[in-house]
Amino acid sequence: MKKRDYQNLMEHIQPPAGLNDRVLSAARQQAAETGKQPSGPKRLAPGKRRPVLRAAVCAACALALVVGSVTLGPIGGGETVADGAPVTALPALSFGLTAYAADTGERYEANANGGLAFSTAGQGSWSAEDGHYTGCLFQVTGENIRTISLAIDREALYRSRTLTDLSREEVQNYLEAEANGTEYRLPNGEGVINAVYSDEEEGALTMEVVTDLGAAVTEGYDPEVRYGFLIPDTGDIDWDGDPRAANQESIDRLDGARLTVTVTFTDGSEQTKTYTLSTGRLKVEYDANSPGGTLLPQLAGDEDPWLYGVYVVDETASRFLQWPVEGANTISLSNPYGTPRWQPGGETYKTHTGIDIAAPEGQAVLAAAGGTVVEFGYDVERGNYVVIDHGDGLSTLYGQCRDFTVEEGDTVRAGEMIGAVGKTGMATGAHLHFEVRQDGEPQNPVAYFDSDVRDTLRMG
Amino acid sequence: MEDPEILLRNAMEHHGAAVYRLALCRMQSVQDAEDVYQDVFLRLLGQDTAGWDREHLRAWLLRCTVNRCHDLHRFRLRRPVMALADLPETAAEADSGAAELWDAVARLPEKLRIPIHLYYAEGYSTEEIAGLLDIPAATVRTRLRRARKRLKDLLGGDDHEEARLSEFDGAYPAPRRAE
Repeated sequence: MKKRDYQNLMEHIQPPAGLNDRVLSAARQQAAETGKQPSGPKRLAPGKRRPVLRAAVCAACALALVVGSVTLGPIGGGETVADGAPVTALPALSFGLTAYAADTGERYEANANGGLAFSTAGQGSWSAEDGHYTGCLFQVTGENIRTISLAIDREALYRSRTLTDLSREEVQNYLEAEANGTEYRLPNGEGVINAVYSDEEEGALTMEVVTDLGAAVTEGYDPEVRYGFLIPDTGDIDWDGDPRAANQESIDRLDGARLTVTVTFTDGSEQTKTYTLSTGRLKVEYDANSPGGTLLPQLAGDEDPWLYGVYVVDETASRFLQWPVEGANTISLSNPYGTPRWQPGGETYKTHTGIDIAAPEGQAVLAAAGGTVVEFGYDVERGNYVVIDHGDGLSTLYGQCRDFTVEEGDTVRAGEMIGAVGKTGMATGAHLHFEVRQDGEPQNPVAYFDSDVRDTLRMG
Repeated sequence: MEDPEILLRNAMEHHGAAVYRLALCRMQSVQDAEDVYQDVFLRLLGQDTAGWDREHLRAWLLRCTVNRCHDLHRFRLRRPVMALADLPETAAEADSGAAELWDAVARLPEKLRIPIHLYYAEGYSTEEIAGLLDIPAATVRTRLRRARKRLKDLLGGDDHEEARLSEFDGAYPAPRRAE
């Protein structure tokens, strides 16, 4: 062959358009995530599956479980829920869900607020045959559990198993068996090999095997088993285009889905919890303790770093609030929750610890949940304000009000009028300043409204 | 420390084509080549590249490409051979000679294909190839010789060319580095 022929031939071949952009995008995601590579486990994609991380998909499908402890009744304690069902009595046995992060092997329990979040850490993968294994994994935890049942009313579930300490030959054998459907079976039954890892170049391999469970499964309880959300491929999401958009679009399929978990204990008693899934942007927090970032089970404010995710709310112990201003659903963008803001006439930056809801002066302000008025007063910043304690460390604050129809010590019901919108204190226009605090810590109020309410909110 | 994004952009601009071509030649699949490409450049971010000149960077990238291809290949059960016409960019350019050449190289075993690619497309000397692949220079020469022999069989090349090629090893200056 002539020397220059091959060179000429090669010179016509260029990397495809868009590849560089995808790499840069992946690099940014990697930096935003945990920056694990190359020190983390090296993930190799077997066979036909396209790992979602490798295709430059954004990091997290984070499953945030806002799980109230089953011992709590609805907010306000002693109140009945809207449909008149009685408050849940304290059962003898209880169970819950914990999040599993496959890349670190760590488990995350619900925090004091009942919220839980985790990331896929690159576990997501997609193929046209098998669908989108989101990588959102959870486990059922509790004592004396005999069997569990999971059912989801949309999309599907999968089981994830991890086989460790495999040699390369063994992995090769499994891959061939999977491809040919022959003898060298995957241990403990079927499944599809989702990912293969190695901690070092020549180290022992770890293999993740996933099994499509369909929409429902009942099986004996194994505390080590991990379940995840699977989105079957229906061909209308363009995975060959922007994988990040495809990932978000696919995850959005879970919005509004309901997961029902029923547990049978060894004493024969049963318990069911229903979780509603919602998708959206979840806040990432960076601090000295977690330089890689912690994914929080709360919606990100506009200025917050975020990762797109799924969060789940336990309906039976919902900590939902009612919207405190009737007829006004716009949250002010000029002073969103969480962002430090120079206080006019003040001396420092202060973080806005609540949200501002614009409304005409005189509009009714409603109690977000039942409770007791514990504070009532005026200060230069918040104007006329009132604090309601709902029990179990949860309280709400209503500020900048014109006046109130309640006094300290009063008991109120959810939705009851407690005052009127005004612009007292440091307010440039009529609005309600609304705060939610758990054990004194400010929370993003938007996270406390269910998806029906959230879907009607606008930022403006 | 230089902004990682700038570093990455520059690296891809100067060396992206070389990485991609090697990966494509080795993997014979656009999807795999893209996967390797991304993997290689993301790994670059984890490297301390202070003091690296362009040659060093390219050598590192190509070495990394070879290794990543090797890893990925282990999990490929089929050994695909891609046709030149499968590449959208080259569809217009391909004359039958080029397609045939590509095909012939594609059919070489990987051990022979990589040295050929590095030698002819990238212009590395046998010593440099030896360094990239971590094999003795003599082994590289043997593989080049064997590869050329098979290519001649596949292409029916002329003896004149063959004789000249065999003088390459060491004595003849390597082709100019492709840019």
